[in-house]
Amino acid sequence: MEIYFSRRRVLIVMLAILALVGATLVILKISGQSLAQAVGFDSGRGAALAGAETFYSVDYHDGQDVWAARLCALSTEPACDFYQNTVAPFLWPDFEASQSLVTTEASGAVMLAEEVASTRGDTPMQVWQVAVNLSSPWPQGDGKTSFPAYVLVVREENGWKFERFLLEDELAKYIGGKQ
Amino acid sequence: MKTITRILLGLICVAIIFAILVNPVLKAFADEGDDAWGEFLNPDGSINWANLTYLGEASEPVDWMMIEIPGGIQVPLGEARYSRYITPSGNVLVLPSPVTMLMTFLHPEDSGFAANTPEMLISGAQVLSALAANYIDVEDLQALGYVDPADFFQAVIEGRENIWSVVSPSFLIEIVRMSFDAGFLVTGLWLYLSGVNCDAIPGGCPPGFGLTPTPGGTPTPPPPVICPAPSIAFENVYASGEKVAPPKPVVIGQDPEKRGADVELRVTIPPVIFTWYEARTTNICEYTSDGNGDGCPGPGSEYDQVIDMNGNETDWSYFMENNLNWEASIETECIQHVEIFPDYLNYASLKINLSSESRNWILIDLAQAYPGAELKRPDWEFSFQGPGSMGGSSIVFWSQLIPNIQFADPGVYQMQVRGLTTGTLVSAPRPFALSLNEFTVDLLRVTLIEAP
Repeated sequence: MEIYFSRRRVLIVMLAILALVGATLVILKISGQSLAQAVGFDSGRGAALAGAETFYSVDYHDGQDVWAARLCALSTEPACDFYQNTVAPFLWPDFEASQSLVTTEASGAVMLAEEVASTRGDTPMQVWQVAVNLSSPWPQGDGKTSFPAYVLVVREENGWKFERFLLEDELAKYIGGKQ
Repeated sequence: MKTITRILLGLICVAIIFAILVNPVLKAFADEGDDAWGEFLNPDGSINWANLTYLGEASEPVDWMMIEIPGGIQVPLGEARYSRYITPSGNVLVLPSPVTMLMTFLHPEDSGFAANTPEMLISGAQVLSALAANYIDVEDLQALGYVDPADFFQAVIEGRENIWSVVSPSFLIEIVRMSFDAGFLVTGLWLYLSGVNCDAIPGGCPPGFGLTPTPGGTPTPPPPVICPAPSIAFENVYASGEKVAPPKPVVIGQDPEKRGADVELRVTIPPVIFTWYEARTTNICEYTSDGNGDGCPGPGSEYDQVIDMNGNETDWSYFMENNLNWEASIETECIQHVEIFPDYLNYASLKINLSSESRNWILIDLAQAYPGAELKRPDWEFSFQGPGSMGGSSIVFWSQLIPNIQFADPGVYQMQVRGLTTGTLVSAPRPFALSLNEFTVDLLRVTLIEAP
């Protein structure tokens, strides 16, 4: 049996594939995700920097759900629950009231510690110090636009994920560090 | 090493808190019977949920559950949440969510807990020990000079130590999530007796609180049940074991190599399934065509849903206040949550005993052929510690090979295993006793056969 493909039919199939890929990308973009982020990061450094940048970047036009979805796309599942259900609803009324537009640059990552999460099957964790620079201060903050942040990242099956910022009280045990 | 010590500490704490402290304490209170605790504790120390009327969940935003993230930004760990029950005599039993309990003990003054401390079965330090057991390295505590974890947590409550400098960084997020997922664990029970100030009770006084029981022992009519009480379910512990080698073991007295027999023991512990219900309320402002409504008083942010005359959602507006065509109501939905807790092995002991028939055969039949035949060692016992490892579906598996048991008496051996699980955050340790497969240890006998 022979199957004949006309040029027109091949063109239609290719257009359909392109439309499908395009639609997927649009959906991911709308939900605040990107293909690279959805699968986690190759290194803890990448997860720490992206986590800090995504957390502190605010565009009040986007709304609470998009901000949380972006953060969830690169966070561990328990952290995503926390940001989505607790943190975002608390922060976003202030962002909307003050019409916050904040871009963030995180840089200078230094790893301070490596541990394992024994309650998650001894999965590796890392603590990173990053320098955070905001284009303008957050309405809820102390007015500073540059400050260090200490980021906990966790390696899951599909790569390194952002979990949370360490509390000041937790920093005592993470002294030193390596580039 | 750190992982091992964490596991050990976790097991020690869980075992101490639940096998030694909680259950006996619950049992002791239950035994008293007429005590305030006795009216909802079973004789075995477990909680008789049927004697408690669920009052629903109370939650309130509080400033003592905030954490600071870089940039001087305060974010909450959620609202303080409490699941509340009323006892037959009108006392109020409060189960805080795990993160609420943690933050309360870390901020006893700010939370008001110190000023209005309820009746508790175990101390706050012991509750914190249990909550953080899997997240603390015993070596870190020893370095700080603490042998008993509860001493460290007492120092935390008194503000002399900082819990965050010791616990694993995964603790914070996981305890917050535990509050979302597992709701209200029976790690800490707060009992507020009738007569205390309503302000002392998280969520305020429930209906019926403070009313004395009517004569004749008839309890105060409880408020309507909002959601079903939580329940616990589990399947029985299963154990199996058999002689695995050699295929035909013989008594060691006839085996120059003293091979003996290998026995393998396996224990399977199904998880504990905890089902609880979250009462989720929805404030509704709805159009009513009969004109008998009471209106929907502002502010509009109070309403989760505003339904117009066409059944569509709309926004609240001032004209809905004092408007007979609008009616405010509250709908309560009970959302079921099912949480699964692995239950680990605390210890197991295996008894291997020569059957009574084989004993009689040795002492009577064999003794006739071999004068002086006697029992050498017909009974064996082996003891082991858990915890085992968690497999799929949160089932805990544990196995142990006992090699080269030097059986000296021939016959049929019967095996029985006994043991105890560690218990979980919502259940007491489970004992088990099961009979296992029999096996035979042979005796080689020489028989002279007359030549044909």
